Amino acid sequence: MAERMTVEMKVNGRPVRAEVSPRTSLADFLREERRLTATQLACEEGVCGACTVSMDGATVLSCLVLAVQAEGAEVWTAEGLDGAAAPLAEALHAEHGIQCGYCTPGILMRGGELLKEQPAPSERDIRLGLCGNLCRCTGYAGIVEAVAAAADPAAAPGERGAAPARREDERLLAGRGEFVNDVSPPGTLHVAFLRSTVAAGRITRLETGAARALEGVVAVFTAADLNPRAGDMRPTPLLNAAEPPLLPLAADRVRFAGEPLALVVAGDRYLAADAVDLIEVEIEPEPPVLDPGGAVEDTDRLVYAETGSNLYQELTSPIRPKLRRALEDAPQVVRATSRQQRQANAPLETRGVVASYDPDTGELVASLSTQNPHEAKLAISRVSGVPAEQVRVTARDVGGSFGLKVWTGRDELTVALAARVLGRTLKWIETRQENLTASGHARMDVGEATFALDEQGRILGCHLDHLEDTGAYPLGVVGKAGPFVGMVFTGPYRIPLHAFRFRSVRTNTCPRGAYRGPWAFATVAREQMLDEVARAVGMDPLELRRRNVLGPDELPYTMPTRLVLDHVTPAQTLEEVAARLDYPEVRLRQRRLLAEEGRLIGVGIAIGLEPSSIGTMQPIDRDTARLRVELDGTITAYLATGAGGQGVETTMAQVVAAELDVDLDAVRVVQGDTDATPYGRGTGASGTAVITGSACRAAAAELLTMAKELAAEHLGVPAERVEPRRGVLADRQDPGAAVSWAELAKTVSAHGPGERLEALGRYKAPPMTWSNACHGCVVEVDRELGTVRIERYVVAEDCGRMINAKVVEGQIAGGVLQGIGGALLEEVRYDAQGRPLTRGLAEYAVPTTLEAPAIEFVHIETPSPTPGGHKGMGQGGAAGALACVFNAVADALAQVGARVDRTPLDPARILTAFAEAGSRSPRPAARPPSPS
Amino acid sequence: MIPFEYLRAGDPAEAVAAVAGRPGAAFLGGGTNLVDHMKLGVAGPDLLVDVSRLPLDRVEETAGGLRIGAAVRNSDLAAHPLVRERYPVLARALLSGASGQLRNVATTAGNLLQRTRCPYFQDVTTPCNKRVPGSGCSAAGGYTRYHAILGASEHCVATHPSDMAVAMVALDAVVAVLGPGGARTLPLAELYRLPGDAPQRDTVLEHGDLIIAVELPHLPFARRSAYRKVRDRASFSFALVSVAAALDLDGGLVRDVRLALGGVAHKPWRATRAEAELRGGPATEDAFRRAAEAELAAARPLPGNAFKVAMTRNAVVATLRALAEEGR
Ligand SMILES: Cc1cc2nc3c(=O)[nH]c(=O)nc-3n(C[C@H](O)[C@H](O)[C@H](O)COP(=O)(O)OP(=O)(O)OC[C@H]3O[C@@H](n4cnc5c(N)ncnc54)[C@H](O)[C@@H]3O)c2cc1C
Ligand code: SF4
Ligand code: FES
Ligand code: FES
Repeated sequence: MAERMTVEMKVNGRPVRAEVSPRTSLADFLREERRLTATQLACEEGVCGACTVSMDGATVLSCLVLAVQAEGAEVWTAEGLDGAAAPLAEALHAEHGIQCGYCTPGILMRGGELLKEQPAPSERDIRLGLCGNLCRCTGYAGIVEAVAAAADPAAAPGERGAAPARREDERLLAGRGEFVNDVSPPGTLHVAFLRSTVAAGRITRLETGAARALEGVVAVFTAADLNPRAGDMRPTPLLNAAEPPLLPLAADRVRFAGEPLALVVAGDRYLAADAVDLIEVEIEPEPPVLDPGGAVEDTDRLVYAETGSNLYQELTSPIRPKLRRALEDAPQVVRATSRQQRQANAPLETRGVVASYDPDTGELVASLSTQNPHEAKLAISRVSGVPAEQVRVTARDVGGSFGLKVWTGRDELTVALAARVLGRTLKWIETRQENLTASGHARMDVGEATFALDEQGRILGCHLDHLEDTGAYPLGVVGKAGPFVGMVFTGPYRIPLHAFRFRSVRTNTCPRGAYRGPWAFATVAREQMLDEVARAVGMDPLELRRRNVLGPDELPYTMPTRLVLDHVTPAQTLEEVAARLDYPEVRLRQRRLLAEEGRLIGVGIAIGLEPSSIGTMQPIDRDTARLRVELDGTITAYLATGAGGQGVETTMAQVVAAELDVDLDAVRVVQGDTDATPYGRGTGASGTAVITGSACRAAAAELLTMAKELAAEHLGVPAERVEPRRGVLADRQDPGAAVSWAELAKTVSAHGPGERLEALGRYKAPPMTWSNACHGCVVEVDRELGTVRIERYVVAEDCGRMINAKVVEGQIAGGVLQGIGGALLEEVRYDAQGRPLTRGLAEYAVPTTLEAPAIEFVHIETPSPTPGGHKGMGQGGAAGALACVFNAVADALAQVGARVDRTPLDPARILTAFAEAGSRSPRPAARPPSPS
Repeated sequence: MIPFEYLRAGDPAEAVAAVAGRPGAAFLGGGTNLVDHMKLGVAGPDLLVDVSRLPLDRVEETAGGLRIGAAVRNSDLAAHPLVRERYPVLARALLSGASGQLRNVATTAGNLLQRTRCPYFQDVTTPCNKRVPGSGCSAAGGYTRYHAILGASEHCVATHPSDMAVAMVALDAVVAVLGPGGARTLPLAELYRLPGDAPQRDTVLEHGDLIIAVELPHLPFARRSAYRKVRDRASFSFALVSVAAALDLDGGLVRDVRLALGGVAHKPWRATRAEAELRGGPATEDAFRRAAEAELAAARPLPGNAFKVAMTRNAVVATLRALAEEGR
């Protein structure tokens, strides 16, 4: 091995001298040797900007710079800035430019450089300057506004009072967030997986001798070592499903390229990777099952030979005679198809776990990047055999997830099991390639539908045939989410008759997991198809929606699938969007620009219905909150949630503060630690506001009951006369008579050691809480190059009472940009042999600042019947945007006879559509000279 | 990444000697391509000779032209007043590549010499003639969206990813090289090779040849020049197709023109046929289209990239049209 070298540099103003191996990256040097962990790693190939540091006055990507290249240099990291006090940091806080915070240090570094070079940047300058920093959460709106505000504080928008700034931000801005990769207890060993590069085949040889012999390698595990010791690895909702077992490592067959074959434990991650390269593996390839359509019927090529079929699930709702007649004999019958490409959640932080097992105490402690610490604890206990009482899971900051980290993955569980077997501390941080090939894929759906309409364009009935590709095995809730697409397909429309067939099929590809609205396809397919229907019957798509959308007088409305829709405002949001877009004017302009300049403008609309907080989705249909009054009178809320960017520490504190009428600053939220918090659902499925919020309310009510009685004793008045008032409990009839929360807490603590004034609140969600939104956008398609530019984007939404408008807008903006990514850019690709082609963020084209439109919001607040009147809204943005942008592009293309029925609508697909239209119909008119 | 040694060279001659004397050695510029490839296992040098701090970091004025040191960073070059004034096509090509942070590190020579590549080249688990000569080409019958439509061979259909090089090839740039045998210059267009039956070699350089500078000749009409890049997303994406053009108009006629294409071939592609077609002819949309079609007559699209033919033609037309309109 090559010698270590001495490097000297200045880091954050202090001289540093150290011995490094030449292959150590500057990022690893800063993070591992200097313990400066603000600088994050998210791709390690120069694409994401999370690792941005400043070197000799210019920002660089520390993942691609070697530590030895920084010899003699002056290096600054986010820790060296003025923490949350710096002007850009303050602006990011004020403008809600932060969600999970994983991209934040990189934004601070690059944004700082930008402001230095261009003290008065235009919006375009800011977007260009930051286009090398990916953010998967915010949609960039708050970030771009923050840089503008830092440049010119006077220009910052003034009306922020209604939306308290997030309390998560302070630590994230100072580079003190604690993501799982930042956790490194002494003695930590590093894990790397060997994975199959073949989609399907038989393992004929797996030789680990050379890897074991490498200096610094502690262990190499294969299936024979771990599989017999593993308990059930499947997520809770699938525990009792009859299906082939899921095991830590592939034993004799591999079923997708990316499947884990062996696990190496070594002293550092470079060594672990070296050892993986030394394992000799031979797999006899077999033809893979890749096409979901073909897989259904195929009985020769099977993903699991023992099942006899690739069909994983099938659910058919019968086509009753009335519907059959409508579909056959209605005045207008239209068939439409919608195909969604394979996508990836691609949170900026990949998955990761640090697991320690202490053989002496029998305790297993794990830090995880998870949305659901308590379920992680149960899963780790099941798999490792350590009793649940002796498992503790912590999850401090989580760098985005969007469904990927709801259920604990096979790989994290395998690492926890290996830690138990070795009795050591093991750390595994997923590489980006693993994240894009082996964590979970989503949205691989095909829908074929038939719509029956009368002469006036009223929909009489429809049928959906929905096929989902579930990959080599399903992850988490997905096995149950698929049929839901058919159940809610008719959405916010008056469609009296409906039936569907749902089929889920296995293929030799990365398993399907949850991604922001696992049933988003209901919205995506329906809204895309409605535009197709409108074109087929010659009606404007807005008009078609107006004729069929449910109005306020028709609620509650029972859908054909017996689901009841109420407290929603689809017709109102549709009209809001039409008005905001100035729809008739856009249509006129569209025609004029085509006729006069040959330009292609398109308008898209999509109405979405989001089923949130679903009461039948055990075990995440309920939650528990514990509130405790501290001796100083402040309130601590113990919640099972985690900090994944949704701002739970802020919004739940707002709820508690409002219920108890105390100052927001007097409430602290503790989450992400199974030892400190009661069992609960974590975050996900758009459930925090309704379910966790209601649990907080229940706890607050309980606490108030106790507090009132105590206060009544104190004040010598009946409990009914006591009320909480601006931080104290006061006598309704005597404004002067009051007792503080601190005094009450002390009274209780006097009862004995450990006695505290505290209360538990529980909540179980009703069957369904619907939120709704309408998205509208205007795009221009470049007729020569096939590129798409979004001119305007409007969202009118109704998520009931908003706890924090900025958090709501942040969630929608983030979802919208993910939807835009899905509509225009992002696709996980395999080649014809099932080899993954999308192995990094260079290939998986997550949108940058330059693709992100400014979003105009309209809020309608129709309370839901749940305690706070809220509705979940974390996921709908993504579904609405997918359909809305697709519709706008399809609308533009239709003017010249070009058609598309699948995403992403990248330049290649659009030019191909033009070419096909050209060969079908006369060549589109040559572009007239531009007006000059 | 396999372990290696690191040496910071004191002067160009020392760097050349260090690399020439060791078969496994490689020059290191900013490292944004080489270090990435070392991580992927695509490259495995046992010695890196860092040439990024050599005193080759100046942009100097020559008789009407510029001499750009090999170690000049992409961001500094793009911002250089003389580049922006005399060769806007170069400034725009640079700014359309990678991201600000990468341009702050990437060097002129490193950018020229980033590998011609394709997704399979970067995946060491697949066969690739460029990575392992004779192992086969996975793109044959595979995924070919980013691949070549011009000048490819059955052995390799990869494309050269640099934007800067396309602009420089259009500008008739010349490369100054210091090799074990001494100094020499050669036109940039001749630096690059087509794959033929030796796709492992991107350029004609020999082991130990150090690029020390790029010279841009006097070309007054390059003040009216432009770069257009078609790609999936507006940053971080390599060109599906790109066009570098400079146009010299004489009334409604094309007096002279420079045209080069990116994303279509194993090397930055100088469109000499189109240039010949255009010179002396009318500066009209039809003429631009005919010229593009003349260049593309030799195109051999693959199953996955047939769209590139129309995309290239349209991009050429759009770029020339914009330049012509600018001149009116
Ligand atoms: C995420 C990402 C996106 C990118 N997007 C784009 C893009 O859109 N457009 C684009 O054009 N480029 C793009 N690039 C590529 C980038 O421009 C190149 O990586 C960079 O220009 C290489 O320069 P470097 O100095 O870092 O080279 P290095 O990585 O240091 O070296 C590259 C090669 O040149 C050799 N070399 C270096 N200096 C010399 C010398 N003086 N003489 C002889 N040989 C030398 C090295 O040995 C090596 O083989 C992207 C890169 C990344 C990582
Ligand atoms: S096209 Fe060239 S680089 Fe790509 S796989 Fe074939 S030989 Fe390798
Ligand atoms: S980790 Fe360095 S750019 Fe992504
Ligand atoms: S806040 Fe930017 S990635 Fe999460």
